[in-house]
Amino acid sequence: MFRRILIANRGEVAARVARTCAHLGIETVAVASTADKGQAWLSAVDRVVVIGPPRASESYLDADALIEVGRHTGCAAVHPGWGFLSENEHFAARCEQAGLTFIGPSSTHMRTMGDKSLARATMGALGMPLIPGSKEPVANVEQARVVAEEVGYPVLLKAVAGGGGRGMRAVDTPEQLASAFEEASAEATASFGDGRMYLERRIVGGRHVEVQILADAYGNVVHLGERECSLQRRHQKVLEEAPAPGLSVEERARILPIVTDVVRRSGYRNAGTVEMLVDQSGKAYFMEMNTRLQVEHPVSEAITGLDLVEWQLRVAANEPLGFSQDDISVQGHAIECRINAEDPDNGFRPSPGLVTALRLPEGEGIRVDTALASGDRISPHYDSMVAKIIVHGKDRDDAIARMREALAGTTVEGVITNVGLHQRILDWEAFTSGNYDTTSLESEFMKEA
Amino acid sequence: MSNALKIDAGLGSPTVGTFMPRLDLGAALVEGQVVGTLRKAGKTLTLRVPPGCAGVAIEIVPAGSWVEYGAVLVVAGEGGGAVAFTAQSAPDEADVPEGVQVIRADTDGTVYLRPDPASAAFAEPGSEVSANATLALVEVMKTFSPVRAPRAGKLIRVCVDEATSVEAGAPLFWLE
Repeated sequence: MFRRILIANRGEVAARVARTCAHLGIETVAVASTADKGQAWLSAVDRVVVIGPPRASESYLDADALIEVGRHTGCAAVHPGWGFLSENEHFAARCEQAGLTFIGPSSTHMRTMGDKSLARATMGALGMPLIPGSKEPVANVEQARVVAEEVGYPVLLKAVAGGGGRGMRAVDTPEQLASAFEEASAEATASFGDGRMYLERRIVGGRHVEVQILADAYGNVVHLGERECSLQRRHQKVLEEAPAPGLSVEERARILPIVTDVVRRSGYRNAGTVEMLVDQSGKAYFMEMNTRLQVEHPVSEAITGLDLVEWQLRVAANEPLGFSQDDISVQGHAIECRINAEDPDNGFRPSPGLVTALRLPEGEGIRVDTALASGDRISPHYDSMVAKIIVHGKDRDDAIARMREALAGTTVEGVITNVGLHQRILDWEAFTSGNYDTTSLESEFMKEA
Repeated sequence: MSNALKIDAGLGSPTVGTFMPRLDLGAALVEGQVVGTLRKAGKTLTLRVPPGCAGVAIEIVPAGSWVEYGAVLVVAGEGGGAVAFTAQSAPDEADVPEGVQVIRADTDGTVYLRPDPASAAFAEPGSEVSANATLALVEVMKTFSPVRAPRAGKLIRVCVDEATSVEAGAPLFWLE
């Protein structure tokens, strides 16, 4: 196992990684921008290096600076967390060249999965069910039109380099295609420096269900069940749960072994998530694979009792998975609410500033992941995460009841948060019945926006 | 090539790495002069004196020091008839004349005084602005919101530089 690692991230995920490292006796070096100096989470690591100014491009995204710190402080490996450089294959390759183990998959797998069109082709060839669509990127509107006629409208245009909904457009009729293509491609060029597009049939009323994977260097691959992340606003997940109410027993039994098998045959290693779209008939299709730890990983940890960061570290250190699929059993039901400093009544405008009081729930079946303490500032430079509240109950109703209690015991003063929105979601019939899709939250709670 | 940081005490490191000075004690600090090199992830950056500095080097970090961002590389002292590193003084609240309204940031964020880097500023000192005119943009987590004039008037002071990080309540403009 590694003696010391660099955490190439900040905030909540840095605190999360540090916690498991402390448990395993691994020393941690954290980096901080000047905006983060003195924040509570930095007290949980063994050493802090001030790396740059608040702007992420000159601090948490400065690959040279991160590698320099990792080498100077004698780290053996780098944990990239999520966001920032976690899916940047060039950073992964440079870490390896500098003698630092990148805690994640190979840079080759990151490149394949980062190119959404290539990921589709690769996973499809290995047997993953695909939404009908283009087999390779479409170069222009004419090519897009040919594929759209083949698969049938409505279609979804997506950026090859896409993420977070940027460079994506729904197209209902042939008349809309040309302008949608130009807009989406321009947006993709601006956001990712890559304007290439691909196209799929648009599944209306679909559900976002994703499978958590763990793979070692010896071909052992297991899944930790699935998560449902259909409650989103502007493609940002708000509340996640596991198991997924949107996946039938039969479809679960069909699709999870396919996913595990495809990932095994792709040669992938470390933790990863296969995101799928489930259509109204209940069938699951491949959307994309995320080659990193996910924000919502705690719900999978809750229902399986496994520590995903621990296994990321062990697998990266060439240890075999100490268990097989048969050893993993899903227990009960887990829900995660992302508490963000934002104003749901004002277009979800971010609400950074000083957190003057912070009271977070505790108790049996309640877990809180946070990097903050009273008196910390939520910086305008980074994401607006206050905390993630995760509950684990014996079944879904029990988990919902626990989450109601947990939210009632949550106080955040000084900034506006979405705690009230989460409380309304828990009392909303579509949620309590489990009968919701990726459009439900916006149509119920963002009517005026 | 990179500029050293202008900090209170003198010159600071603009990133992390191993510093090798190329400056003698007592040397005058003038814009563009080489301060030293910084070795970072196998690359060598040459550091220069940024604009707006004056004074002489009275202390220099030993060769081979590994430095963090903002660490002092050179301590500057008075010399050559110039006072080193006088920080631009922020407008004093007590100086606000009668009849002048201070427009403040309503959130933490980064203030931009122009719509994009290629364009002119929304308003400059002396500009007559109409009620509700956009004076600046405040960026919070990649979301931009306008700062608007609460009423018509003459902008007599711009209290921040382009791309300054501010906290909620920080003065941005004086409106007469």
